[in-house]
Amino acid sequence: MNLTKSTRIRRAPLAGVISLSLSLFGGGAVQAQQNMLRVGSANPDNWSQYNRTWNGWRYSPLSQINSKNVKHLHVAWIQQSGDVTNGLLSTPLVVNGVMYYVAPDNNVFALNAVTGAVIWHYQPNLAAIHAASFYDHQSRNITLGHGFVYLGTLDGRVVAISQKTGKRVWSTQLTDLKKCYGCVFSSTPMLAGDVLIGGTTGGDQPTRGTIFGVNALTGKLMWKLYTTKADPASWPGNTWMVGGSQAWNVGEYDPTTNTAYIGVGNAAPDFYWNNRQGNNLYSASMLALDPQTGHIKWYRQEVPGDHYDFDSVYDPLFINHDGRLEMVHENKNGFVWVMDASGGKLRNVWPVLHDYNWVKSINPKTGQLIGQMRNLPAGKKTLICPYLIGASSWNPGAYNPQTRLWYLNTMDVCENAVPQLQHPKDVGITALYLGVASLEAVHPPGRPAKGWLEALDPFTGKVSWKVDYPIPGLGDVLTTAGGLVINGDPEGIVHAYDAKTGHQLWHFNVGSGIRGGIISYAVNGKQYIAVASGFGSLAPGFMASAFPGIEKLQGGSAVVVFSLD
Amino acid sequence: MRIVVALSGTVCLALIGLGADLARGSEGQIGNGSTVVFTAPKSTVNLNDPKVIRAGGRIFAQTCAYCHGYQGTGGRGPRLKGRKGLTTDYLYVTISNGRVIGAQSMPPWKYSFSPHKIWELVAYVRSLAAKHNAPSQ
Repeated sequence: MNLTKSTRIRRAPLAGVISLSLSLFGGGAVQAQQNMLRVGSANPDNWSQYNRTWNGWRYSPLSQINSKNVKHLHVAWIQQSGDVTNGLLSTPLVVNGVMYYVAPDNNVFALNAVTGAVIWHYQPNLAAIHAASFYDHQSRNITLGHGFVYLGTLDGRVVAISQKTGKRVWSTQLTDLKKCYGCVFSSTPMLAGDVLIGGTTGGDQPTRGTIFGVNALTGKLMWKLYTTKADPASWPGNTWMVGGSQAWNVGEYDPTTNTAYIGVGNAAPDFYWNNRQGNNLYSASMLALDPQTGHIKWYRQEVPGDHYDFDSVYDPLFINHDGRLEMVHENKNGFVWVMDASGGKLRNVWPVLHDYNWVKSINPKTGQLIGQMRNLPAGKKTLICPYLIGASSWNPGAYNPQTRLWYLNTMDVCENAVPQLQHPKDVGITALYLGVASLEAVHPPGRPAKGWLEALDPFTGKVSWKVDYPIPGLGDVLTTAGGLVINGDPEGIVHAYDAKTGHQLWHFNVGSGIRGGIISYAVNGKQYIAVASGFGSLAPGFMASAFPGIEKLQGGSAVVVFSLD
Repeated sequence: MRIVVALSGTVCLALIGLGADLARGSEGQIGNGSTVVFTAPKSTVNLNDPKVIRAGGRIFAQTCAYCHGYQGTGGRGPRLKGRKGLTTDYLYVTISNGRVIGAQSMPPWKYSFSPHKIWELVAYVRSLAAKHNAPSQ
């Protein structure tokens, strides 16, 4: 798994020449640079991928802004996207002084990363049917590569936009919203060499999960991988045809092994058993794929027989540990699986939460679920902990190689579910296939619902520090070589913490809550921090019964950029 | 009455097998080809019938509570419990067409639910609005 410098630079999409002065690196400069060169983009000025590097760290090697001077941060510029519907979920990308990001309703911008001036603005002509999708308006990301900005659209396409001009080069229709209950690309497919790989929404609807492989140069569909199997032992009867299991998050591509990692969502219907006794492969599984063929190299199903809406779609971390590359993967259900990245062999399973009830425990050596809550009784209220939003939202945490800590937004909330039979024929294009008569987010027994940011050992879960939030953090976390952790809360307060201690060093109110990415980049030797501000999406609505303060929060959509002078 | 505002656009969702029969109310098309319900048709249910309200409550729990909160207590979507000023016509039209207000959006439900089911939802939301534990607006 060790990468040479030359290999890394050659393979990293859009990687530039290493031009940054070492003066931007802090005390751990050599180690930070080595770590940076082993993984992801070779140019520390850039944030060219969703998680900056393929290992999912969301770690910037820049240290001009650091724990000593962060209190002097001020706003450098703000760019309002205009369209604010459902808030800003995406992570801005920066390459060679140009910022690219996708705002609500598939509005894509290229901006001067120093001034915020718009270089170009692109919005696809979306087919009218997109408005009927439950998952309309929202996008998590765009993808850069081969001179294109790739966009997964709200009407089921992947579009390649010229990175230079903002003009559409090709467009490929991959889904038919009439036939897939309005399934759309809420995430743009990841780039795995010359192949775009990704899936759509629809995991909470009577669909059959599908992952697409598309030629990134031409837009031609190369392969489809179905994530439910026509196997009566796994999916009795026709349950596989309506079993959901969509891969709706972004995914990560390891160029050193030519492996695309993508997680698969929950089985459907979410809570009603629906006679689908079986493990329901590949629902709630992490897949390692060959990008050229879609062949599954290995997989690990984290929740066999899921009927709690426990997606396995969250982005994993990849960390060298004891000479091996390990995958650290959090499931919605509040457990973290530590696996050998080359074959999925289990190293450990540890709980993020102290209290949960969907399972009594998980064997850390085998992954076996012990005392799994099964066959939730139809028509009766069952308390399930954690709830369907998860112990964390889909938003990635961040890993800092200097502190060796993983910074993660976490929450402790349960739900009361009353399962109920729901016929797929009664589920319209906009509706959900949850299989419930009632569903309510509630506080856990004997304690309030709460959220916090914590610093964890990614291999064991040992907590180094923890900061409580009145409403759980739902944004992506940033950590830097300047010894910082930066996290935004739903009220719009951006916090900078000392990465070692959790001591708050700075905060600023950007006016609307954080639901997307916080990144750092540099242009001409000057470091910036960019925050995607704009509360929204679907999750906060369901959370409101446990966190009534959510009702008062304002939406928005703006990129707010900070610098030191 | 059918009011045609514009016939431009390429796809009329109601014509591609997704929609319910909307002909009984006032409706029309807008520039993108979508059919819009302007006024509610005559109600097909007794809006005060507890069975109708319960049926609407089941639909609400499956599809609406995600934004409007459990039993309409509010979330990203507005609070409905104890809400004043929601007329029957407004509820039917809004549920049918959906709505975008600022950063908040509600999808159109006319492509998923028949008029009868929309009326059941109207009955349930009216019952929520009649509850008295709303915060001051």
